[in-house]
Formats: sequence, C-alpha cells, structure tokens
Amino acid sequence: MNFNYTQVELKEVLSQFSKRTGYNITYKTNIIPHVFISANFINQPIDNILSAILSPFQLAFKLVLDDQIIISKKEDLRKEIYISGRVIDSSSGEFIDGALIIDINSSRICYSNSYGYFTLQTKNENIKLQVRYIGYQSKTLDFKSEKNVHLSILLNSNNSIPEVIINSRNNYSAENRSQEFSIEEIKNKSSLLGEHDVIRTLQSLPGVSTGADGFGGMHVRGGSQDQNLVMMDDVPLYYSSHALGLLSIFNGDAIRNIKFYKDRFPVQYQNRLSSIVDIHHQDGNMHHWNIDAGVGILSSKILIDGPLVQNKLSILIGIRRTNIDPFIKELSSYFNTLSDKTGATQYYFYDVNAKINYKAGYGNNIIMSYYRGKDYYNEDKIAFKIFDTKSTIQRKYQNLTWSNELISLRHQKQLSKNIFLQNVIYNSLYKSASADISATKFLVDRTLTDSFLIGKNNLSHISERGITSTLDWQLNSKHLMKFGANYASSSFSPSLINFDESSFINQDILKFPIQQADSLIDKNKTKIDDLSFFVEDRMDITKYFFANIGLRYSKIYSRTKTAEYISPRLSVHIMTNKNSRFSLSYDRLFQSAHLISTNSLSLPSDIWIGLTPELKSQKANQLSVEYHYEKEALCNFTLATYYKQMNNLVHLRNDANFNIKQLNNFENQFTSGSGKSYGLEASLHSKVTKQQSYYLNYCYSHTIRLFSELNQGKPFNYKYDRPHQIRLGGQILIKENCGVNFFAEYASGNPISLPLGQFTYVAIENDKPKVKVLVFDDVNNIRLPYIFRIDASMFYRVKNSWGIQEFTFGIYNILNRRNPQYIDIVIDPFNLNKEKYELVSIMPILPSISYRVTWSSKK
Amino acid sequence: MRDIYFIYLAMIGFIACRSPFELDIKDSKPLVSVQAFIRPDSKLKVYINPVLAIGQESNTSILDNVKVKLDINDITYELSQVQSTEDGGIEFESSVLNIVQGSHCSLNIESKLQKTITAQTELPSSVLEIKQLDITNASLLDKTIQSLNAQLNLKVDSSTSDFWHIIFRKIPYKVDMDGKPVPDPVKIPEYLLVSQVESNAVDLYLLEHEPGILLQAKDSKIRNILLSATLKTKSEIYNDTERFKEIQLECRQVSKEYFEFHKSYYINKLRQNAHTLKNSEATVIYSNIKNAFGIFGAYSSTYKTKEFN
Repeated sequence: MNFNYTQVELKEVLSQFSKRTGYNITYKTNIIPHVFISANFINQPIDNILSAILSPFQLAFKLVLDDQIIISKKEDLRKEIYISGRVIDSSSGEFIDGALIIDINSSRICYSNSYGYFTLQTKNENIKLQVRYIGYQSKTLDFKSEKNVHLSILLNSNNSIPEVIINSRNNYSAENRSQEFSIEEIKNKSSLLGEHDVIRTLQSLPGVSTGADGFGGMHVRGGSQDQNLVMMDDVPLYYSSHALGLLSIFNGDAIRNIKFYKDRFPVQYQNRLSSIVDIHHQDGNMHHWNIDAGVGILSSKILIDGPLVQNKLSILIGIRRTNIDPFIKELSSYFNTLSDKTGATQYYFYDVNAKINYKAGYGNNIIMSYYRGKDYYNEDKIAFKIFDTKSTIQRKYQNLTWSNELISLRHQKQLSKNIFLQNVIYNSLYKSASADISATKFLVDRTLTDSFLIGKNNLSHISERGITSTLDWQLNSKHLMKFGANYASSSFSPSLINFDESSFINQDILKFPIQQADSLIDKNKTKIDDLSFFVEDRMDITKYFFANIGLRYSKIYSRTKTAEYISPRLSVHIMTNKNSRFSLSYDRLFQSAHLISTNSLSLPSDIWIGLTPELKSQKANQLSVEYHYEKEALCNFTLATYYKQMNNLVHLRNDANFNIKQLNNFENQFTSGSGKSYGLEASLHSKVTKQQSYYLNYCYSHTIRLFSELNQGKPFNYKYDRPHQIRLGGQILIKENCGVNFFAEYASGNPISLPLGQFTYVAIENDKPKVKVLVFDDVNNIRLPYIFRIDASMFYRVKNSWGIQEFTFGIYNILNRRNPQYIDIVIDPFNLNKEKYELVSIMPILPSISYRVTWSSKK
Repeated sequence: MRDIYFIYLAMIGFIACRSPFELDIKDSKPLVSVQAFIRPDSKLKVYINPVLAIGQESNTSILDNVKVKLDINDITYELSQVQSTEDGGIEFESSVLNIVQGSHCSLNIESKLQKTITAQTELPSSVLEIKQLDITNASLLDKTIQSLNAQLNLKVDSSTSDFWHIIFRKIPYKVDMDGKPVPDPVKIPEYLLVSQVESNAVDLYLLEHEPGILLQAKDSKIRNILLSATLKTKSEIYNDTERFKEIQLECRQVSKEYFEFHKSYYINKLRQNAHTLKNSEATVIYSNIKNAFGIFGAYSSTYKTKEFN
C-alpha cells in the first residue's frame, strides 16, 4: 500500500488511514498528541505503515477483530510481569513484615505481607525498586526484565547508623496499614525500671488511656480492657501484663514488630470492639548465633537464638525473671517485725519464649512457638495487739496469681507467584486466682469473746483452641484479596465468691481455707464455639483513590443459643496530593467474651465470662475520619476524629451478690447496657535533624456508659474517661554511641465513685451498735486530679570486637509528682474517731540503671 | 548489692505515696439522711441525721425548724421532736399508730434549709404464720459460746408479699433464790448470731447491722418456708447458770423498701473490705427518700417463744 501526507495532524492521518484500509480504528483521544507529521510510504505492508506512524509517540496497535484496530500506549499493550519476592533481614535471615516496595518507574507500590512476601505487577521492563522499612537502611534495585522475576531482598538494620527514626505511616494503597513499631522504636522510648515495654509505647498514642503510671490496663477510644485483642504470634491473650499492669508480658528484646489498630480492623483478626495489638516475636536467626542478656532493677533476662542447621532450622529461647523478690520478702518481713507483725510479702514473675523455625523449602516455613509466663503475689501477715487482759489477733491474707501459656504451630507457604497461605493451630490458656481475706479474733484472758472475718475469692480460667487459615491472593496490581476461615473453641470458667465468719462456724477463723472457689469453676463454666469466614478486597481504584472492603461472618454456638454475626468493614482513602491522604472508615464489630470488672484498677482478679442466656455478644459501630500529611521521612501529621457506639456491654449489677451460700444464680448477677465514645486525635512526628526527633500528640475524648439498672438509669462517665491528654516525647543522639530519650504526659483525671459522706444508721434492734452508711451520689461522680509526669533516660553503648555493651540510666517521674491512682478512706492517726480521704499514688521518682550485652557469632 | 536493693526499696516505700484529699461536695446535693420503720401498734420513730462528709464531725445547721408529718391512708399525723442524736441529728416520734395490713404511708419532712423530703412505703398486706419452731443440739462452743440449732416452718403467701426478716433472741435468765436459772423479766432479750442457714425456697442474707436473716421468695408460688439455722450467743457465758433455756423468734413481714435497703447495705459491706475503696467498685446503697438519703420502710411482726433443754 502507498500512503503519504505532509504536515497533517496525527488524528487526521489515522482517520485517512482508516478510510484507505477499511479498518475501524479505536483509541482514547487523550493519548493522541496534537502534532503535525509528514511521511511517504510506498509499497509497504499496512502494519509496517501503522507502526511507523505510531512508534515515535510511544503508541502501539493491536488487531482485535478482522477489521478492528485498537491503539494504546505501548506499555498498556505490553504483557504484565510479576515482580515477587521476600524482604529479609540481612543479619538474621528473618522476613520483614510491612516493608514498603516502590517501583519508581511505574509508581506502583506494595507492602510485604505478614510473611515478608510481596507481589508487584508492572508493564515497564525497566524496573527500579526502592524498598523501605523503619529501622532499616533503604535499598534500591535497578534492573531490566521482560519475564516474571522473584527476588530475595536483604535489608540491613539501621543499628550501626547513629540516626533517629520516625515512624512513617502514609498509605499509598488501599491496605489498612496499622500503626507499626519496630523494636528500635520501642527502645527509643523512655524506659521504666530499665525495661523497654511494648504496651507502654502503645499507651503513649492518642486515643489510648490508662490509669496513672500505666496501671489500670489499656483503654482505647473509650473501650474497656477486654475489648482489646492482644495477639502474640497469632495466638490471642487474655491478660498481657506483669506486675499488675506495670509491664507487659512481652520480652522487648525478643519482639520483631508490633501492629496496632484502633480502626480499619482487618477481617482476619477475631472480633474485639476497640483495638487489635498484633505482636510477633523474632523467629530465630538462620545465619549465626546471638546472645542478648540484660540486668535491670526489676528483672534479668537472656535471649539466645541461632541456626541449628544453617539457613534451614533455627531456634530462639528467651527467659526473663524478677531478681528483686528475695529483697521484697526480706524487707517486708523486717518492716512487719517493726510493727509487731509476723509474715512477709512475696512477689515474682517470669516468662519464657521459645521458637523453632524450619524452612521446608523456598516459601515454605513451619514455626512452632511456646510462651509461658506467671506472676505470683502473696502477702500473709499476723498482727498481735495486747491491752491488759484483752488481746486481738488479726490475720490478713492477700494472694494474686495469674499465668498465660500459649503454644502454636504456623505453616506459611507461597503457593504461586501471587498466592500466599498461612495456617495456624493454637492453644491459649489463662488462669488467674485471687484471695483477699481478713480475720480478727478478740480475746479476754485468752478466752474468745468475738471474731470477725471477711473475704473474697476470684478465679478465672480460660482455655481457647483454634485454627486459622488465611489466603492472600494478589489478583493484579490493583487488587489484593484475602480469604480465610477461623474456628475457635473457648471455655470460660469463672468463680467469684464473698464470705464472712458465718462460713467458719465451729472452727478457728484464723485457719481459714485460702481458696474456696475451685469447686465452683465447673458449675459456672460456659463454652463458645466460633466458626468464622472472612474476605477482604484491597482495591486501588485510581492512582489517588483506594478502598478496602471486608466482611467477616461468624456463627457462634453457645450452651443455650446459636447466633450469627456479620461484620462489614469499609475504608476509603483519597490521596489529595503526593504528601497527604484523607481516609474514611466504618467498622462493625462484636465480641462474645466479657470481662467483669470487680475492682477499680483493672487487676487480673477481674473475671472473664462467656455468653449466658441473659448476656449477648457486645457490639460496636465505629465511624472514623482521618487526615494524614507526610513530608518525606522528616515530618508527619495526623488528625483523626471518631464516633463509636457500643451495645450489650456488661457490668456487675448493683445488687450483685456472690455470697458463698447463694451461688445458685451466678449468671443473674450481671446487667447489660450501652456506651458511646467520641473524640479528636492529633499527632505530630518530626525529625528535626539526623540526630533529633520529637513527637507530640493530643487527644480530646468523651466516653459514657448507660445501664438501666445502674445510676438510676442515667448516663455516667466511663471510669477511664480522660477528656484531655497531651504527650510529648523525643530522642536526641548526642554522639554516635550515646543518646537521651524523654517523655512527658499530661492527662485529665479519671472519674471515680466516692461517697459524698456517711450517716449513722440506728438499728431497730436495741442492743446492736450503730453503723455508718456511706452515701454515694452518681456513679463516677468525682474526678481525680490530673496526671503529669516527665521521664528521661540516657544510654551509652560500647562496641567491642566481640559484641556491644549498653548502659542505660533512667529516671521515671523526675518531678516525683504524686499522680493519683485511687482514693482511700482511712482513720485519722491524730483522731481515731475521725476518718479522712487519702489520695494514693503508687510510683514516686524511680531512678534505674540497666546493663545489656549482646554477642554475635557473626564476624 | 543487697544493701543497695534495700535502700532502693525502702526509699520507694517511704516516698510512696499518700496525701490528704479534700472532696468538694456540691451545695445542691441533699445532705440529710432519714430513717424510719413503721409498724402496727407502735410509735413511729424518725431519725433525721446530717450526712457528714468524711472527716466532718457534726453539722446541725441544716436541721433547724424541721416539721415531720405522716400520712396513713389520707390521715395526717404530726410528729413531735423528742431529742437530738449524738451526730447532730434529731429524733421525732409519733403517737401509737393503729394501722392495718396494706396501709399506704407517706412521710413528709419540711425545713427552712432543705427541699421538702418525702418518702412512701406500704405495710405488707399479709401476715406470716409460724407453724413450727424446733430447737436441737444446744451446746457450748469453746466452753463460752452457747450454740443451738433451730428448725423453722413458716406459712407465707408470696403472691402478696415476698420479703421477710427473721430474728432470734435469747430470753434472759437470772438465778433465783434456789440457785436455779429462771427468766429475767427486766432484761431485754438479746439477739443471737446466725450462721449456716439453709432453705430451698428463699434467697438468704445474713445481716449483721440488723441481726437476723433477710429472706426473699424465689417465686410467687411459695406458701411454705422450711429453714434451719445454727444460732450462737454473741457474748461469752462464764458459767452454766448463765445458759438460757428459752428462745424468742420474731418473724417480720417487711416492705420492699425495707428489704432493698438492708440487702444493699449487706452487699456493700460484703463487697468492700471495710472502707477500702481501691479494690471494689462502689455499691450504691438503696434509698427511697426523695431529696435526701436513707430509708422509710414498714413491717409487721409475729412472735413465738420456745423453751428447750
């Protein structure tokens, strides 16, 4: 065919070509440039002529029917290639979860999944990958490929580089990225008694409130403690603290990463209403042996990991135990002796982490994890008081013991270039027991004249077994699907009893049995079987608009009923420019387990119960809106607001009665109600220089509860409602091996119920002495004073040929401010007929020093 | 090392951490408590006491010029002040009231400084019948405490009233001219402590502040209550002649307000360790007094005495 033209617009050339050849030509008008071209083709094949016309403009064509030609950009017609692989820590051989992978040329991005895998699709044969993860040096790979490629990308830890890091959380895709923390970030926070703690790091985030000094558990966006799902290596935990909440049970040195969600809940997690804390420990170094040991004021610890078979089989063992317990016992005994008492206080905790990681082949891992931790507190003292012929013997006994034992087997497999499978089988055991008994005998001339005893026992045992299977399927570069199923069988065995001296007739009340609730555990046992299926689609709808749609369906079988729940999740993200994002999310959540609070400090003596004929699953609907701005890795700012409505919350009835003699109606002692929470959260992270970073966050929130049977049916403030919270922290590196961390916190006081006063009750029975009746107004009628605290710590590292030594000196509560924990009513020592309020704080100024040494066989 | 730890722990112990706290009670809240229990053929005593803030010793200013009126089935009685209580409160008393079962009673208290205080209660409409009282196993514990077992059979009608309060008392004895123990008509019967109570028809609450057993029917079909209890003296007996040989049983048919108040006080005490608030969430004590705190309840009593060996 001959075809010629001179200075004709390209569109017109194509039109003429169509007329001459009889082919219909289709194209998007915006891909055809407004240019004038000239050419003269003589006896050329049609396809050669069209190629010659289009190729200068990076355009190509395709014949789709006998007479139909489609013109597109060249890259659109090119076959997509998959770039898949795994992001791995170069030192340990462990995979990295959540690394950001960017193809600079195509602007495509993705994150490595929970198993370190990623898949990226592109049509551009020139590939320039940039891989980033907090705490690691970024890596850039530049290569050319026309076929699918599989990569193992090794990232080097930032440890050797003296540079502060800030957590970058911008979303470049529909994936619901959580707030993530690496172990380095946790260590950048100020420590308490030389311990770097995960939960304390989370408690510094906006929207998370707690009691003073971290006591009282973690309360996220107005939710209660039981509404946080805490996962350790994919196994749920029911109480995650040592030392009554002072420290978490997670050994900071053994942790690989932490994900924290307070909205945009991924569907694969079991349902909880308020937050998800997903913590993964290291899986064990595949290349060389490491020992990490430390001694602090409170505890000592050691972590050993390394390969049993190089790059095939690794093991990790971590042990931590208090070293302060002999001194507590001796000192308490000494002080008791000073006040004419006998007995002592004992306290210890320990935890053990163990893991075996087996690489069965490329993309095929089997990991077995085991954890056991226990806390034991015991105080048993007897006081003698003698006045002439009268004497008093008083025995006070308090015991609080709790333990967790978890075991899991995980299998991770890459089924194809874009499909990943993880199966987890697990067993989680939680046991807590508490006893609080006080007995007094009054004697005259060694003859018993009166006696008095009051006591309570709580027990809570939970056993959960489950299996979870999750499939990640990267359909294409715009869709990541997640499917899965989860079956969990949980049994809750609670017992809660109160008793007095009438239970000990005809026996010496000072020899009271310590634990009376054991026999009642089976009677109150409830079992829940939860079968769930979930699906989630993460869609990049356009370059600037992403969505994440998920659905979790659950069928709950309990003793008395079967219920079905559908939990939809939706989030959309709009990139307003390359630095900022606007997100909107809706989560509908439910949970079957309830934690009954029996005290005001969220102690482990609280009991867990399952579903009963009267108690339904808790439900929540949460709507949140977030704006996020990020300027490179130097500064990020987040502003979020939320509204959460909660139903079927459970509380002890005002007249709940756990008298040991009336335990035939345990299930009727609870009442259901609702709650709502709303707030505004703002946070700013800034890296001022390479050596300095700061963060500041503020939260305004309000949370109320409404129970028809409590507070005369009027709404009342939730016990951890703190309207204003401000936190400021930072890290300054002074030298290559030396730095300072600081943290300051202000929080409004939380509400408590205090009696307005008391009146004298005059008994009808004439010979009965008058008693005092405390008068309470509304529930949570008084706010404690505000909390303010400043902590600081300094570290100094010495690098030797055989390893690294680190000294940390810290001061907790530098101002020695007495932050209020609770208020007590005590006898005035200067007037024994008078009582007074005392504000009790627990943590004074606490200096601490710790020493840590790490050794590696790596040369 | 040991010494360093000792100093460290001792320092924490000494620094931590109690300081006085002043509670700011809002002025608008009522600061008065009222307590009154009405029963047939008796005078009504009304105790009006100030609610004293913790640490406050007395406050009489709010109890000036108080007038107390009682309405029974639309008949009004004005009570007269008889004395002041040691807490700065005042006591009012009516004449002997002739009220019948099912009567509706209203209390109305006015003062210059307080909003009008009101409360209502109703005398239970049925009376229980003590069908049987048996005493067994009378013995001495630790050679000083007299103990015995009581078995009780009550005829009730829980469709009309399902709250009761049972009190056991010893009839006081004295030694006569021949050295034999005989009832002492001068001394007031002294209540007995109760323990190990069993009954399958009712929920039980062993009260200390108003000694006895508080009962609530488990359902409205109960017509009979079988109950057994172990009783003991609250004070020691020094010789055999002081042993009592006659027991008095008082069975009260009580109003719902009476029951709720005593039950909530009992639970409050049981759930808290004395006044330690840290380990317990507060249990609000029941009150049916509008614009104040306290209790206005009603009851009627049935008595039976029983001699034993």
